Amino acid sequence: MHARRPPLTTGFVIATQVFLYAELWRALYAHTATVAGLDVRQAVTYSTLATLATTARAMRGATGESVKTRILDGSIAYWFLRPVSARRYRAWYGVGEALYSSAWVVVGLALGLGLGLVAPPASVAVAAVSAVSFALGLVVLYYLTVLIDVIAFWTVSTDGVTRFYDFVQALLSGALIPVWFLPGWLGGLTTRLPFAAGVSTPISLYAGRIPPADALPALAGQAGWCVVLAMVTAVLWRRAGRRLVVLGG
Amino acid sequence: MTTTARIRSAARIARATSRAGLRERLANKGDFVLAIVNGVTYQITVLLFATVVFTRFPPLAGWTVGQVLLVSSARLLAHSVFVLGFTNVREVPYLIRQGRFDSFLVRPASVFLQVCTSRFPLNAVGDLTVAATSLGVCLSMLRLDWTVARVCSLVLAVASGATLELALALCVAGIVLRRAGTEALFSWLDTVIGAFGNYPLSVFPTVLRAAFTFALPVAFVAFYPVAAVLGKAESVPYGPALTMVAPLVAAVWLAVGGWAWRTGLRAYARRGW
Repeated sequence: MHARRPPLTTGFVIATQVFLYAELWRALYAHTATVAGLDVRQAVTYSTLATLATTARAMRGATGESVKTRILDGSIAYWFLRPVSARRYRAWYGVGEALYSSAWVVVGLALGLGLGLVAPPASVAVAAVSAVSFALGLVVLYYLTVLIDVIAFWTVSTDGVTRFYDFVQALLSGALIPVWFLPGWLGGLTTRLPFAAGVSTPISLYAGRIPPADALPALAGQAGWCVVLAMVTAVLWRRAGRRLVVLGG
Repeated sequence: MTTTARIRSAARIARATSRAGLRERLANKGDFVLAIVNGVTYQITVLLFATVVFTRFPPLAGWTVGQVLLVSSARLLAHSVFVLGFTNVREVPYLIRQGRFDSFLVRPASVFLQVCTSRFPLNAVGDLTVAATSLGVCLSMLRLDWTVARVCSLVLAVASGATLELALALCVAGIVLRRAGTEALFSWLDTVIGAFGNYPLSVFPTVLRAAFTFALPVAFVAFYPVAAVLGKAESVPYGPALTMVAPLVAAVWLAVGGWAWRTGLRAYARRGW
């Protein structure tokens, strides 16, 4: 029962959000052709892909299989008692999460292309580059969520941290508003933080807002964040095991 | 027990549990601060979205920035009132997972009251701060003549908005109590009201205008009643009468929400998730 319901809800939530935002952007563009380098077709494509890339992911987290609940009921202890290390277990779990959210993106992209919500990529090269960028983005998002999970070992109650992360992530990754629309200082901030590398970069490449000529620096930036975040989480994992307080029992 | 005695006893329980809840939240200082900050940050995303819309796109369907901001501020205030009293309705799935919800079912107090007081609503502090600031900015821009009637209609608008949010949350809670795995509908509701309840309905295409008026009452949370406050009733879609009926719409939806909650509870008590 538990396992069968989420796809239906997820499908409903994604479909309605994609539709509502597409209508909103179309309405806003009624009297303008181009805003911040994006035309209406690109804006709708961007918004649709951003909703696809983030909603299924966020909803997976909301269904309870999170460190938040595991620390609260004490079952986090099992992470450290298994023959697989907690770090590796979380990594495999992350692979599952990535595959799950990617499946929604692939299905959604196919439907979006069919319905004319998403513009097809400008060339085969653009399609290939954005696919690579999407994969790198998944790695960035994986490390960011692990970071939040691991912080929970210190703060015990992760509610505040998780919600704060959701806010920063929604705002600075370009999931809610394309980063190109943000006021100058905030837009500048997004280029110095890893969040945009997870969502905005692949979608901007796909929609043509980052021209193919600039694709290489964009991919290099994403790869750089992967390395930095991998090193930070590795250090934190080592300390987390020593810090863990097990509640309940 | 008479109704008065019942209300008095409910108020006593609510006071005691809220006090205990506040102490519980204070136990983790970092989380305490973040919870307040989060109320602020969440509303800032919503306002930022609105700012982007104002600054990047031309004026919205004959509404000035100040007027649109009054719609947003009324919605934020309504949301804060909802968070202050009833935000824990959205925590029902977590309460069920922790096993706390099942204990609510066997205690001699209303389940709804126990859910509402299960956790101290710290975020409300942040939500209220942003709402009050936004209203202050907006009032300084508008320079309206605040007659008694106008103040009353704004207060009534906020009250109806908060009631509508509660009613819709109860509808979702009713679904969640029947079916596990549907809890994402809570954040869906938040996103839809947050992203679409802040603007004059006139900017949206026909299909959304109809949907937010006749299906999901997003436009009654702030837009219609605020149009009346601003004296713009003549310009709203589907006629000026709709600017007066927000309290009625809220009452009807609250009845629906109450029904969804009660039948949901019965279904849950019978077989759980």
